[in-house]
Amino acid sequence: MTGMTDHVELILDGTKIAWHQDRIDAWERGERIAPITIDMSLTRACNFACHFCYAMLQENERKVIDKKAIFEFLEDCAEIGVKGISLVSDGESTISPVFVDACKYGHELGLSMAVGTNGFVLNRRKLEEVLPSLTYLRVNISAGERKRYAEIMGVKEHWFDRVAENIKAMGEIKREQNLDVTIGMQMVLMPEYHDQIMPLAQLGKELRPDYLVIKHCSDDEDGSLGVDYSGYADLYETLHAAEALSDDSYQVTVKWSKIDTEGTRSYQRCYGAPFMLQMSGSGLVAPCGMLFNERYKKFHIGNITEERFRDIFYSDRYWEVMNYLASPDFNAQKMCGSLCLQHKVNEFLDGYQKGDFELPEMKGEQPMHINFI
Amino acid sequence: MNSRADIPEAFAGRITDRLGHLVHAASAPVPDTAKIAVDADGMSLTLTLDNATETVVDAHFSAPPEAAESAVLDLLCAHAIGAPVREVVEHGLVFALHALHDPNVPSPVAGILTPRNAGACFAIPLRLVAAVRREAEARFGRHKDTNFFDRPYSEAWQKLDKTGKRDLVLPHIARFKADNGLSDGSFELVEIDQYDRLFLAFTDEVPAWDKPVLLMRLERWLREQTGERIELFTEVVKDANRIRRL
Repeated sequence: MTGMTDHVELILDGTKIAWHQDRIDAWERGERIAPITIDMSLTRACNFACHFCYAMLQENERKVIDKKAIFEFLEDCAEIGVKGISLVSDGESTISPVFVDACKYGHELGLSMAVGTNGFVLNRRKLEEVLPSLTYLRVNISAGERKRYAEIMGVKEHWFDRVAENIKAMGEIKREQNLDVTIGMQMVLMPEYHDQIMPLAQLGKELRPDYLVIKHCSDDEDGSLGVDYSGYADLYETLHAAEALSDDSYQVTVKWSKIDTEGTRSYQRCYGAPFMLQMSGSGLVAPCGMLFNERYKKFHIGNITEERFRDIFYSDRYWEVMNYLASPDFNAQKMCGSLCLQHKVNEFLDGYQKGDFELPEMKGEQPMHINFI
Repeated sequence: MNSRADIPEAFAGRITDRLGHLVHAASAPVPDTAKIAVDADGMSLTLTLDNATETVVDAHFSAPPEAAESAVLDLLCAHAIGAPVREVVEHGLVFALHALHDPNVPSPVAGILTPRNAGACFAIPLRLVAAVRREAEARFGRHKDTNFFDRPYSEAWQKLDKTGKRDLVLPHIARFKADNGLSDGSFELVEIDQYDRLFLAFTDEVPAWDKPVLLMRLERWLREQTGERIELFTEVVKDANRIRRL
């Protein structure tokens, strides 16, 4: 496969959980299911200071994920049945010394590996080494112009040029090596960045990644980042114009399903975490990124720098926390921030659990990136 | 009807307790337009509604008094009264399940416990709730908006100021410390915020990895003792990255 047209379908606004019916059936029988996807970071550190960054709210006791810890973790994931690992979460994984090795080893073990990055420290040599191991690489770039990029991403203006060069190189390497990897750009949109929607969509058209996705900005339950969810409605026209820049090999997608909800949740129980676990760059295992901060200590399960992941996964503590989230002790509408990573999975499982629908029979070829639900 | 021998151990004690004082048991319903009455396998559930608000104003069931399903349906009725019928359909059995589950006894499943995998005593209640759903949707249509129903703190709690709330929970916290061999200074309640969330600060007496389990147990204890849905938190830790600041 060399490009988007070779792929069946790239779902950027939705969930692929329905394609994992065996795991849903096992969950429904009350079995201990391994996560399909784990979203994690290799470090809490970051070389950027993005204005919208949720990681500012996720501080917890920092530990270092070294090569031994990450390799053992990846081996445990492969053993228990995890399918995909995305290195996104609450830190910039590319600045970890174990970044390249982790991607390659995970791939060797049969895990689907993916990366979300600011794209700054990647260079052609590193990209050539790592891209063959990845399902997707997505660059977080929330502006299409140097000056605004520097303001929004908290860096120097000329860093914009280097990141843009790297995105261009990613596409070139993909084509040269005929790789399966999908190259993406992502804009975390706060309403006040509206002036950057079209410049960024246009920049993508020039740099030629496979896609640009424009998503809402998450906030915690106290609104610490100050996201004005009502402000998105004024941007719909611009967002549609950005989507219209899509062509045969460049897809611009707005995550309408999240932006439309204005930050609210249709469900109260969180059933998604056992299917889609999040881990901090500190090695902390917690059900969800919104619960990383020390403040949410009661949800913290273990740390892969101190304990094998398989032992954490099989522990009663892991399932005590997961059951808490699925019980009336917990109400995601009141106790969570807005629109978490598991949101679409939660919507699906909650609707199914309530009897809103039967599990759909999935026909035809699977969509792309099936292991990232 | 479910034999008592089939009841999972995690529910046995509480089912027996509940069967000893059923509140919402009644004879089979008489037809009435203000009611939704459904039956399945010889058991029935009757919800009396305020049609304008779709709120359940009364709820009864009929089932053999010794059947485990009676305990499930009694708790379902308890949750139903004062709630929209939609809430009963969506979450009623989750609440009944939770109320019957003794957390000190191993769960009947190793993974996530739901009414669908909780055992045979939930089978007929599930059918009754599905029938209520069909009836409610036929009468009111299917809701497309979101169900935000959530039981608030009690009126008594809401009338208390922060000092009053603190005075209410502190004796229970002291008792928990004593029962668990923790010193008075092991942790303290530092704040009750505007959303009634309780924030604790720990000293080094409590090892880091003992805190999560202790917090969850203390929260459960406080909920049992006060009847309020107390939420426990520890103090926020600020971002340690040097270059980014809120």
